[in-house]
Amino acid sequence: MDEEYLQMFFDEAEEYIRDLNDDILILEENPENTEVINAIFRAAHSLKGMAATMGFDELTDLTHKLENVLDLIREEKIYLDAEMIDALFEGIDLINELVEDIKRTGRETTEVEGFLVSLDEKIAAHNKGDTDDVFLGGNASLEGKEEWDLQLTEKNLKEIKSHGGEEDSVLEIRVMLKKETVLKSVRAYMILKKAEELGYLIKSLPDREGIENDEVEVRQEILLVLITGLNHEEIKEELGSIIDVNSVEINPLNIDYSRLETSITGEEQDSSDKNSSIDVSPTVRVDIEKLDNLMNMVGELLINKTQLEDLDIDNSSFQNTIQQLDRVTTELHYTVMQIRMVPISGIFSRFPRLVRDLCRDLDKEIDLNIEGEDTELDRSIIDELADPLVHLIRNAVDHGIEKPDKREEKGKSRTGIVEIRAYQKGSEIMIEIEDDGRGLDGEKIARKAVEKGLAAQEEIENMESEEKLQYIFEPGFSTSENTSQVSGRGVGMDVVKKVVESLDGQVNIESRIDEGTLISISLPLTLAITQALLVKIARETFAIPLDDISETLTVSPEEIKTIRGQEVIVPRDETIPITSAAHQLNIDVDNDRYMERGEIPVVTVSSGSSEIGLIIDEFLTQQEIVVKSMGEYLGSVENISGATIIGDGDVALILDVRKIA
Amino acid sequence: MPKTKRVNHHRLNEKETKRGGMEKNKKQFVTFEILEEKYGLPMCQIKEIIRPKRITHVPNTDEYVLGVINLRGQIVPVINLKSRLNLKEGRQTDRGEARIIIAEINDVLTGINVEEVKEVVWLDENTIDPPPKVAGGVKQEYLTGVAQNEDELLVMVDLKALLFGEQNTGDTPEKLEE
Repeated sequence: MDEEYLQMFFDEAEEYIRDLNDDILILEENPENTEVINAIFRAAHSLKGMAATMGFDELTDLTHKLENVLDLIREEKIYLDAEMIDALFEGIDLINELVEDIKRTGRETTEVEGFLVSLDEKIAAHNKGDTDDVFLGGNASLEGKEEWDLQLTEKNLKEIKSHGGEEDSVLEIRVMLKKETVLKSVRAYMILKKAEELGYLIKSLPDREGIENDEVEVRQEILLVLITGLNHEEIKEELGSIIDVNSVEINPLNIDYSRLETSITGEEQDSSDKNSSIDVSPTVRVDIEKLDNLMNMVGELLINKTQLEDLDIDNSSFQNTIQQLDRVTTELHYTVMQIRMVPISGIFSRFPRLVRDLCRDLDKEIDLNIEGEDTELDRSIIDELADPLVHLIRNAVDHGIEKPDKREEKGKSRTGIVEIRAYQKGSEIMIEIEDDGRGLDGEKIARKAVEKGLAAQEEIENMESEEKLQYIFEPGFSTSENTSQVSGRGVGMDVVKKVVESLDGQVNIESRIDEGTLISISLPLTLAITQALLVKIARETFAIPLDDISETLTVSPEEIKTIRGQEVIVPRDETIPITSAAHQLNIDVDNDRYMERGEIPVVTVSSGSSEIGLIIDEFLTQQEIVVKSMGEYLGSVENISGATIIGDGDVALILDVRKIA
Repeated sequence: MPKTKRVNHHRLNEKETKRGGMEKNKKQFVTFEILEEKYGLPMCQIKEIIRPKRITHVPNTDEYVLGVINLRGQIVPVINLKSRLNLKEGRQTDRGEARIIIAEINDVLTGINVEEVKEVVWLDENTIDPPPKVAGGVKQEYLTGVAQNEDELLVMVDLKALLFGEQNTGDTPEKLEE
């Protein structure tokens, strides 16, 4: 199969699955919301169409079945309760599994038959009872009665409005064919054709396209909605004259236009029901790899630009060209970065469903608040972040929030609150997950850390409670005494930390017993290019990102004071500890060497609230650097966040000041 | 980045190549010398061989990590094979012959600093014997085997184990010396 189509199928399927999840959640809140039912129906329908086109039979059957159920819900033939919603969710999960199967193996391996049977049973059990139309399982009934009702969409209503004249009436016509009719589809076609002569045919069941393409099985009954100026008798006579027609039944339709007024906007989407494949989108899908290539090339271009600037040619037209080049490359870089940015809602949108399911499994009541889902992050970060965030949410729901009764005992509201926030703060993106649950006990964690040999007893004795909490990020640590099925799955907090750090981010935890827990993750806005100050440290060139620098200054040896064994400088009444950068990097240099000089260059860097002055050898230049990874072999190196290539083609390491400051 | 396999062929023994190219079960090996002992690496793991270039030292890394180089825009770590294999420093050969062998293993590029690249030889895989406990002062865990090539013993280094393998706990030579 064509790779490209397959990829498109996956992308779209993912979108539909997400939409389905979102919409069914809405439906659960507002079972009466017909618009959302329609939206769900459309998504299922589109999925079915795609699956059928691609030849995925199981997926087609499954979506077809869901579509039928939704139709029954829409027509209020079955009850919609939590059980039914669960069934819908289960169906969507199966769709997801099938899509994943195809992704992995190219074949559909997940078993859906069992679900289909149980769904039939549920449908039967949810039958409203005032009609015996609802089928009781089995395939024959699938194509049976449940479809024999014409539902007018908003589009149809609009059509009726625009085509119906003053004298015209809107009629629902039920034409019955003789039982023994052989060429039913031919007859149906003739009936439709005749109807079109008699007036304006709004809709028919089966529809004309289906009949012409031989896609539907024509049964005994054909339904028409017709706008016509003719009276009932004339129509009966015309249609009745067609061969094999047994009876014609006509009922005038009372059209409720109010539905049209309230949901004009829904109309466009309605048309996508059938024509989704020709919807022209103003966006293009691009393989992330292509963007990465583009990014790399922009990076190379920036290096070349810097090299040109370094030529330092005193020629005005050269200078002009350089300036021009500078402007263009800067803009190019910005644009490429923008292209790579995607809203975090891609991950966040999974959480309502996740929390809902967890609540049901664990008998908890939780309000989930999501803020800042429009916050944009680099695509590569988003991809990596999904699993850790899911884990954190699971933790919050499973271990954080208490059961309603327990909460009441503690004087809290029965419903717990889990908040997920994303926002930009300077050059960082913050993601916070907060719950108002039982919180973490620093003492317990510290004890456990000692038990597990992660810390020595002496170590924890003088520790702040906040510091003790950090042990939960250690590999081989798990606080929960009885690991439940929910959060015991797969990754632990150590993996969360590892992933976040691999993205050049940091994770922090704050917690108070019985008040709640806040986990905050800070991530760089973009990974690739940043402004940095180049400095010399022990004969090597290092880059310090400008965002980390508070100021650069030169001090004389006399200005360096010692307070309680710590060397400090006091610029403007502020005491800042200073240390040799080389020392921090474990590079062997003679510390006193600096003191022999009259002027000592210092870069003060900050991380969070702490600030430190780093003694360096020499200031070089300030320039844009392309941040490159040190590669898998070296992995993460202490106090080095990456490397970059500077003007002369040499490698300069990028200082990670966060652990230093 | 375009994936081109580039190997410096100027040392290729042409006669060997032609004869060997015809036969099956033969693989190409790049040979080099450390302390007068000959070592071999399978050609299929080698992306290219470059002349030494400026290596940026990386603090807080193992001693055998010399640093990183810029290989056409990509940051590639370079290790000193001699110290990685815990071989004692010996007579320094002529600096002019030193090369960096760029190995590609599991899609990861790593530079290996050697004093001299000798030649490329074709060897029948069947003539490679399983590694003895120690060969050329290198422990078994870092070897894929030994081979006889023109009256010389060629020690085959297992780059995968060397670069990504689990460190054998307890009895590494340094610790024994301590």
